[in-house]
Amino acid sequence: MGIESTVYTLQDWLLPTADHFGGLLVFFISIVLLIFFGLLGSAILSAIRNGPFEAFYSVGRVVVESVPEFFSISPRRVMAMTWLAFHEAVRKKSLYVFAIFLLVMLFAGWFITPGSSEPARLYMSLIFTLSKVLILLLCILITVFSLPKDIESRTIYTIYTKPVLHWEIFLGRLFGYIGIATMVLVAMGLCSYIFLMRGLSHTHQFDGVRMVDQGDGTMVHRTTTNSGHHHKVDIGDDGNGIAEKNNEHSHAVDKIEKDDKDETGPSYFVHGPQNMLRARVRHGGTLRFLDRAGKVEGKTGINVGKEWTYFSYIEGQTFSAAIYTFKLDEDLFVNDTLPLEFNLSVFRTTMGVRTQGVRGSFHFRHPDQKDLRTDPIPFSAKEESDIHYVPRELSNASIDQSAGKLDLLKHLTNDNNEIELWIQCAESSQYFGMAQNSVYILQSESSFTWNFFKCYLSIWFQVVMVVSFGLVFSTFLNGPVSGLASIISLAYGVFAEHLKNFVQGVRGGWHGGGPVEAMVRLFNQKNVMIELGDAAYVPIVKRIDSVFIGAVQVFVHMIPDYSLLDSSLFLIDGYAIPDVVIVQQLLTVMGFTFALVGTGYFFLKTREIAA
Amino acid sequence: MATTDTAPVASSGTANSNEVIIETRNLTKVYRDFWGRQKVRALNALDLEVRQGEIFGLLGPNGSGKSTTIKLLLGLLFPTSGQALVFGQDPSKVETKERIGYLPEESYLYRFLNARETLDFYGRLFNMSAETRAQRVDELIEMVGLKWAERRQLKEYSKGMTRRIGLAQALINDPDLIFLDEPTTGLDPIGIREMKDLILRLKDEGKTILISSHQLADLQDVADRIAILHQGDLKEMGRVDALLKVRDETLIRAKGLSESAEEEIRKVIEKDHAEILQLENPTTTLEELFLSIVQESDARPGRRAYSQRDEEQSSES
Ligand SMILES: Nc1ncnc2c1ncn2[C@@H]1O[C@H](COP(=O)(O)OP(=O)(O)OP(=O)(O)O)[C@@H](O)[C@H]1O
Ligand SMILES: [Mg+2]
Repeated sequence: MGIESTVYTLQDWLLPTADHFGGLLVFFISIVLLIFFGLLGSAILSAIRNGPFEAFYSVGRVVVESVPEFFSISPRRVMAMTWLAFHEAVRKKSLYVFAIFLLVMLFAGWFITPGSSEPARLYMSLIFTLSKVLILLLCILITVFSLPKDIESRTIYTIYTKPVLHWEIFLGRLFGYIGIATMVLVAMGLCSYIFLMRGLSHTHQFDGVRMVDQGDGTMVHRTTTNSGHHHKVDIGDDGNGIAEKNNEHSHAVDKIEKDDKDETGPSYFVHGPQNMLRARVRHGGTLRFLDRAGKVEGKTGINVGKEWTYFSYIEGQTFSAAIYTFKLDEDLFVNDTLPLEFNLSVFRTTMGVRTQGVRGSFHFRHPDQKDLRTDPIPFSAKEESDIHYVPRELSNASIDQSAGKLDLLKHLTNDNNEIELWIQCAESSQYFGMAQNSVYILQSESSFTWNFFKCYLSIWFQVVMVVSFGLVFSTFLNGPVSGLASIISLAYGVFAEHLKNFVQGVRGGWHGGGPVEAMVRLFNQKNVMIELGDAAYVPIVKRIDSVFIGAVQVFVHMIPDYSLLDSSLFLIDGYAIPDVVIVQQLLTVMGFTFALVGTGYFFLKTREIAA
Repeated sequence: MATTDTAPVASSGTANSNEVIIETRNLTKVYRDFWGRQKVRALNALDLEVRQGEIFGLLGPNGSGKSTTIKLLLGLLFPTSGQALVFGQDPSKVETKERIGYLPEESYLYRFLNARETLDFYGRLFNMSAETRAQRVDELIEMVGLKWAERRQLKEYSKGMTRRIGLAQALINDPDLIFLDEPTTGLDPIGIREMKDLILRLKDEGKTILISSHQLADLQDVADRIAILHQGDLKEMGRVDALLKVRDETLIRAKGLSESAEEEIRKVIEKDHAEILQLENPTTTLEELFLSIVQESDARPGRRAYSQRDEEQSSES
């Protein structure tokens, strides 16, 4: 998950909308499916082994006993099991994983040159990838082997013959392993943080005298080269200055006041790097596009043929525009300016002027009264974060000379406090690419440390999931197989997004329909483009297929998509992880864990432990 | 049979009035492989009744189904058919487990814990409070004589020491019913003696004990009743003294008998006139009985009617 993902509000996320089922619904359908197929499956298995009567009895018994047993869970016994699992994991030398982590971290400094153009990004990618891989591997290793080993070595007999509930056996282990993984993760987090801060910290020297030719004849002040880069320095009127942005950061430069005036002139102190580690809080809008004739509006613009379809393009020197609708309020203004940040993609069909960005302009409009608009403000597109501090009051002199200045909030918003931002490209044959999340109002800067913590919290959610899944696998599979199953379910996150989109696509309309319709077409020899006609069975066929696809869609959501539980991209890109994302992750994990604990209970309870 | 004499709960005569603690009806266990194919019929239609305060022995050669029976009674295995009831309930019930203790055939304990930690851990599983646990752990460690090694990890323990801690673990909850699966294996002669004394002491406390063993000597000394299993079938069951009576033999014990006298006695016995110094049914050893049963069973497979002796025994009393 990252800046590109659509972040739903909690309500939209939980409740069904047009383009998704909603978390709650998926959860309940999943539970129903799980219970239904779980019971059916185990009843069939047990019927094959012991006959239908026994099967009914044993499955029924579990169902009947599960609830009262759940309510007689004893904290002391759970604690005892937790303590045991924790001890076991410690004795297995699982803390060595932390040592590996430290080792890699120490040597990583050799390979990550702080002089690279995006040092923070590199460092953070390394830190999060490493923490995540190691901690999840650790979780898999400690969870999947423990129960099978307990069964194999029969130590479980002495537990099973004590008045311990199966809930307690499962929960104890769950808590124990989560506990130990949490300890390791906290240690990793602290070390990462220190490593990151130390790794990025550097300074430069600046004497205020030496001027350097910039290449085009202009002479500028420059700092010394440290950590593989240097900065242009801009000295202000008060004598203090700023080492300008390079390698994604800047430095404050302060004049050191001296008591005794000596001849060497002022000396300067260069502070540590600034704005290297950011946590920007975005205030996003909704995006729509206007075609080149300026007539038709749509959700997407032009496809310039890139495989990555995140950005949609508008053509230069046409009426084509990208229109963002923002909700404005007083708090978004900083010193009577609106901080507007662009992250545009530029697609050039001609070389243009190489040293300059492609030019464009933006203006604001009233959403309902189309002629109430400001003058266009020109800009030249940079293919990185580019902030524009837009004055609150803008003129529209070029359109209506009599009108005074327009206040963004007072004059240009409708009753819903909405305002439209129009972005256009000014150079012909050049294109601007835009996406939902690439233009936003910079609401505030949040604390990086807090953001860092939230990112580790997401990793912790993954820990909980991996441990729960591993444990459930290990209640009915042997160690290596459970390990493999855990790893596969982790890997599923890589293509889960595609799969979900695909299923969503099929649901939305798919040539040839679902399996039943396909069967019908097969026998009627109708290819997928031919209409099925209006025979009486057609609606029934379609109905069955739509239920089937709905079930598949829920099923796709029942496999954990770990990419949804990864917030590191927000952090690496310098954005605050939205709280709602954390809440959604928490709910997702709680939902899964809830279902998994039940599943684990069921498997443990029905398993003949000594067989 | 010194054992039965010392038993306070007066023998099988009153057994009927005692509560039935363990009951199996037609208990059968077939081990199957992953595909549900039959591997071993480990126990075949076992009917047992063990009453309150009894020491019941399960005797049989290796692989005869003793441990299987115990595991069925503990709910570690589910019966293929038939039923096992402990305290009149399904063995997997938590309420049942509150009242039982189990010493597995090998010590299945967590090797990374020390003796105190082990006992404390199992105590917590019985929801015992910290003070009760501390006290109970002290008592038990004292009882099994491991005070000197209580802080050492179990992986450093010798076989006998592990056995002792296993026993302590089985008694942590002061159980009413104790399952001992081959309790004397791995113990030295003194340990075996101590184990037997302990078993008798537990019986004195009114506990019901089920012991399995192939050490005939163990059971001979302590068990009230035994069942002999062979290849999953129940071959014999009854009071130990009754089982050991040989009915068609007579033992005559005399002192200072001359050869002629001996000759005469033989004649006398033929005429049935002489004074009989001692006339009784000699007892065989359990070992002999056991071997004969196994031999017979190998020669003529299938179940043998054990009930004859059993009934005889009960009518006797
Ligand atoms: N888990 C199992 N899977 C398959 N077969 C088993 C299993 N456990 C026991 N058996 C088989 O069941 C039969 C009875 O085994 P059991 O362990 O009950 O014997 P036992 O009387 O306790 O023997 P021993 O004196 O050696 O402990 C044996 O043939 C054994 O191979
Ligand atoms: Mg055995």
